[in-house]
Amino acid sequence: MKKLTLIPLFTLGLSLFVTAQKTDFSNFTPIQSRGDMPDDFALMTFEKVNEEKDIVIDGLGKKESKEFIKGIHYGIDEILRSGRVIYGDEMTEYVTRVGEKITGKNSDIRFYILRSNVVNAFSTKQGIIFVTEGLLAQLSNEAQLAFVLAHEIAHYQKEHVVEGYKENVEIARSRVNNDSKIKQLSQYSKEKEFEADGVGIELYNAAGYSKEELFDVFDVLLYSYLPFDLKSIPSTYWNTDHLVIPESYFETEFPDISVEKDYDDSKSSHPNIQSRSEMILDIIENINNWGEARFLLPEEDFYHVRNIARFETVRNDLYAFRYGDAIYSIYLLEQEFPNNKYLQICKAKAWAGLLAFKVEGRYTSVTTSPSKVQGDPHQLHQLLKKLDKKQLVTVAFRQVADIKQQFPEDGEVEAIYQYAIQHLAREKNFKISDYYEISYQEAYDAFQKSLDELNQADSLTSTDTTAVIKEEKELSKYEKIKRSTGAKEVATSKDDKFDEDDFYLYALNDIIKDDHFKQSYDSHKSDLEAKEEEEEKKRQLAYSERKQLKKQEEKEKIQMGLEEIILLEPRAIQVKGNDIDIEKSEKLEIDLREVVERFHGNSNVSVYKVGSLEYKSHGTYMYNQKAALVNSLSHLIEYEEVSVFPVDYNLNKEIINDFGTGKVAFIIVQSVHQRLSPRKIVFYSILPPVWLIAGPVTFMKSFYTNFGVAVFDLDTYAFNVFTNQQISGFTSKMEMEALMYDFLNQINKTTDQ
Amino acid sequence: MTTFNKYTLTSLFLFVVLANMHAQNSGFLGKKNMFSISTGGGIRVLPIILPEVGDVNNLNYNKYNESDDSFDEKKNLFKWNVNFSYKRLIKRNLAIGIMGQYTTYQAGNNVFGSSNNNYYYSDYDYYGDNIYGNYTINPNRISSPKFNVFSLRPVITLSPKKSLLPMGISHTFGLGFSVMQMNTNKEYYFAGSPILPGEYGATGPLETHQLIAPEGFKNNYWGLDFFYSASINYPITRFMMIEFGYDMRVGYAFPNRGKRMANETLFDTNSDMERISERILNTNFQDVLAREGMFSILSLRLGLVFVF
Repeated sequence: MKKLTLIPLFTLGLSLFVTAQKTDFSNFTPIQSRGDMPDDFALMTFEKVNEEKDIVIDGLGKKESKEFIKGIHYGIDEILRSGRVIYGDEMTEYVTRVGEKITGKNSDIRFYILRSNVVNAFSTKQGIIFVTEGLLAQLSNEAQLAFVLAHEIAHYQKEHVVEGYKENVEIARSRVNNDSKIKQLSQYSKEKEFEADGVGIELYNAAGYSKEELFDVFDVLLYSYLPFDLKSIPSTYWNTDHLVIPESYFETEFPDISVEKDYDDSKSSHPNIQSRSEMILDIIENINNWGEARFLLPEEDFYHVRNIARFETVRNDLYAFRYGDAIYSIYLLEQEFPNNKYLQICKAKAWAGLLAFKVEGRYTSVTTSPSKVQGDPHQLHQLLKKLDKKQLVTVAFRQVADIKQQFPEDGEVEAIYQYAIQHLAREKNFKISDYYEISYQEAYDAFQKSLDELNQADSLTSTDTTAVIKEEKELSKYEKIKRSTGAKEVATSKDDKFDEDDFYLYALNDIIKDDHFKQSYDSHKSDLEAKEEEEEKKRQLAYSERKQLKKQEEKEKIQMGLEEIILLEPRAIQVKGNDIDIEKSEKLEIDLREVVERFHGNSNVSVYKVGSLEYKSHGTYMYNQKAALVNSLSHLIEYEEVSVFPVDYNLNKEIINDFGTGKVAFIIVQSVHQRLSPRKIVFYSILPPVWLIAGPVTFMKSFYTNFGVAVFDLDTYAFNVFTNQQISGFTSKMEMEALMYDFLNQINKTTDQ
Repeated sequence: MTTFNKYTLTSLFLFVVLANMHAQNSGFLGKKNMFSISTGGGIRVLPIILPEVGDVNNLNYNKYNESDDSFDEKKNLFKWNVNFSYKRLIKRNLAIGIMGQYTTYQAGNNVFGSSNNNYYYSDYDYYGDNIYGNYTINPNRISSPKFNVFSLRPVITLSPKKSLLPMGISHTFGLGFSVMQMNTNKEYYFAGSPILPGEYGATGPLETHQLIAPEGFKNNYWGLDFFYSASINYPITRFMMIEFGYDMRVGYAFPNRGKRMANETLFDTNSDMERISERILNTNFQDVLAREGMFSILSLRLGLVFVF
C-alpha cells in the first residue's frame, strides 16, 4: 500500500493539469472522471437516506415517504456505483455549461455522463441528470442538447418522480386488473412527458435557442437505433496489397430506413414522436420571442465533445461485444481521423474479437443479424455473415496484422496480434500450408495470362502439338507444381474461371513468410498440442486417478502463493424468500467492508482495497480504478468460456503498475433466508414425528450465507478461480471475517504447502 | 469408570496426536482446535413408541417426599445430557476428536413389575430369631431410581464440501462405549401395607422402607453406541461459537444378566430389602434400561465451542 500514499498527490497534480487540457484525439485515451469527487459518489447510500430520514413528502405518509426516499437512493446509487458514470471530464463540463444556460449558474442540478450507447437522458429526484454518451454522439448541435436537458430539468422542477410514485401507489391500491393498471400508469406518465416538453420548451426558449432545432431532436430520438452517421463503406475500403474481397461479397441493395412516428404508445411511458411533435407545435406557435441560436457556446466545443462521445461509443461497443457496430463506427470516425492510433487499435480489438468468437463457435452471439440492420451499416453486417469460417478468420487476422504492421512497436497492438494468433492456432481448419505465397492480384493476373495463353494456343492449329509440347517445356518447375496441385493462378483449360471464393488464401501471403508470425504461431500451436496431449493423458487415467487429479488441479487453482491482491469493493445481498431486502443488503455490505478493513495488516497477503470507502482518502483516482476494474470484471464474466481481450489494456497495465499486482478479487456475499414451503408445512402437520427431526434440520438449513469470490488476473485477463463457501446460519461479521481469512490464507498458500 | 482400561485411553490419545500431525492450515481464523461444552435434552420417545413397553404412563415416575413420608407421581417427558468434546481440524471439512457425554434420567414406571404382586417378606433379628413372623407386603408406592449414563467415543466431524469447519452446519459421527449406572447416592423408598398373618385380608398400616438396590443393579452396564449429531456453529467472537443442533444415539447393551441375581442366602435386613427390591423391579429391567440408556432418538443441544 506504500505506493498508494503517493498516488493522491500525483493524481491531484495530474488532474489539475489534464482538466486544463483538451482531449488530443491523436493520443486519445479512454475518458475517465476528473477533479473533486461530488458527494453523490462519495456518500454511502445509508448516509444519504439518513440525511433525509425525517422528510415527509406532501401527499405521502411517513412510511411511504421513507420507502420512497430509500428507493430513489438505492436505485440511483446502483447506477453511480456501476463504474459507468463519469464526472469532471470534458463531456460533463460541456453538458453542465449547456445546462447552466437553462438553469442559471446557481442551480443545484448535477450533470453526469453515463457510458452507454443507448440514446437517453434522465433526471432523478436527487437533482441528478444523466446524459448518455450515445445521446451526445448523435446530436447535431448544442440547441438539441439544450432541449433534452431542458426537458429533464422540467421533470426535476415539476417533481415528476415524486408525482409518479404517488400515482403508482394510488394505482397499485386500486382494484383493477394489471392491464388496466399499466394503461393508467402509462397514461399518467405520458401526461408528465407532455408537461416536461411544455415546460422544457419555455426554458429552452428563455435561454435563447432557435425553435427550428426542436423537431430535429425528435428525429434524433426516432433514429437513435442507427449509428451516429450513415455512410456506405465502399468495397475498396477492404482492398489492400494483400487482401481483396470480391465484389460478390457485398450486397448493393439493403433495407431502407423506415420507422413509424405514430406507433402504438398505449403501454409506453413516453408518448409517440408524432404526438410529441404535434403538441410542441402548439406551444411553439404560442411563443413569440424566439431566439436564433443553434450554439450559445463556442461551436467547436460541441463538435469536440461530440467526437469524444463518438470515440467513447466505439469503446462501449467493444465492451458490449458489438464488434460489427464498433467497426462501422470506426469507419465513420476514420473519415475525420484517418490512421488514428486509438481507432486502429480498437479496430484490431474488434476483428480479433470476431476471430476468437468464430473459432470458439460463439460468433452469432456477437454479431447482429443483417435483417435487423437498416441503411448503410447493413452491408458490413451482411459481409460478416456471408464470410465462412475460414474466410472470416483470415480476413479478421489480416486486419489485425495490417494494424500490427502499422504500429509494430506498440505493446498493446502486439498483445492483440498474439491474441489473434493464439486463436488461429486453436482453429483446426486453419493450416498455414493452405495459404499461397502470392497475392490475390498476382494470382488473378497470372490466371488471366495463362488463360490468354491457352486461348492463343487454341487459335493455333489443333494438330500443332509442337507448340503445346513447347509450352509445357517452357513452364517453370514452380508453375508445374502449381498446376499439378490445382493452384488457381494458372488456368488448366480455356473454360476455367478464377475462383473468387478462395480470395482469403492469398490474404496472408506476406504473413506466412514472416518469422515473427511463424514463431508465435508455432509456439501457440505447440502449447495447445501440449495441453491436448495432457488432456488425452487425463482421459486415459482411471476414474479414481482422474478424480484425484481434478482435486489437485482445483487446489492448485486457488493456492496461488499470492502475497498481494487488489480487493474490489465487495457486494452483499440479503435475500428473504425470493426478494432482495435492499436495506439489509447495504447493512450487510457495510459489515462486509468493515470486515475487509480489519484485514489491513492482519494477514500474510497485502490487500489493496479499491472501493467507495477509499474514495475519502484517494478520491477520483480510486473512483477511476474501481470503474476500470468493474468494467473489466463485467466484460470478462459475460462470455466466461471465450478468452476475451481487454478493452482497456493500457488502463489495466497502469493498475498493475500502481498496485504491483494484477490479481483482483471480487467478493459477493449472499445472505439467504428461505421461507418454509407450504408443501413442507402440510407434510409436517400430517406427520408430527417427522417434524421433530426434520424441523430443526429445515430450520438450520433455511438460513445460510454464500461467500463467493472470483479472482481474475488483469495481466492474463482471465479468471483464476471462483470459490463459493456456503455456511449455514445467520450471516454475521465474525463469519464473514473467518471466510475472508480463509480465502486469503488459501490464495497465500502454494500447492506444496 | 475404572473399566476404561489403559488401552482405550492410549488409543484415544494416539488418535488426537495423529490428528495434530496431519493438521493443515485452515480452520476458523487459522485456529484448528475446538473444545465444546454443551447441554442437551430431548423427549423420551422410546418409552412411548416401543410396542412391548409402549405406554405414556411409562413416562411417569414416583418421587418420595421425606417431609411428609409420601409419594408424588410425576411425569418425566425429557432426558438430559451434558457433552464435552475436543476436536482438531485435519482438513477444511474434516475434524477428529473425542467426545464425552453424560446422560441422566429418571426411570419410568415400566422398570417396575406389576404393583399388584404381593411380595413375601420375612424379617429376622441378628440372632436369626423371627421377630415379627413372616408376612407379605403390597408395595403400592415405589420411588423411581435415577440412572446415569457415561459415554466416551472418538468422533469424526464432517461438513459439506462448500462449508468451512468449524463454522456452519456439520455432521458428527462417533462409535464408542457407554456405561450405565444406577445412581446409588440417592435414597429410594417404597411404601406398602403389610398383610397381617393369620387374619385373611387384614393389612397393617402403610409402611415406608428404603429401597436398596441389589448388588446386580449397582453394577455398571456396558454398551457399544453409535452417535450422530447434526449441528450448527455460529461464531460470536474470534474464539467462541454458539453451537446448536440435535443428536441421535443408538446403542447395544452387553448382556449382563448373571450379575443381576441377588444372593438368596443373605439374612441381614438390607439384603432382604434387596431381595424385595429385586422382586419389585421388572424382570425385563435391564432391557428397559438399555433402551432408555443407550438410545436417544431426538436430543436437542445448545452449547459453546471454544476455538484455539
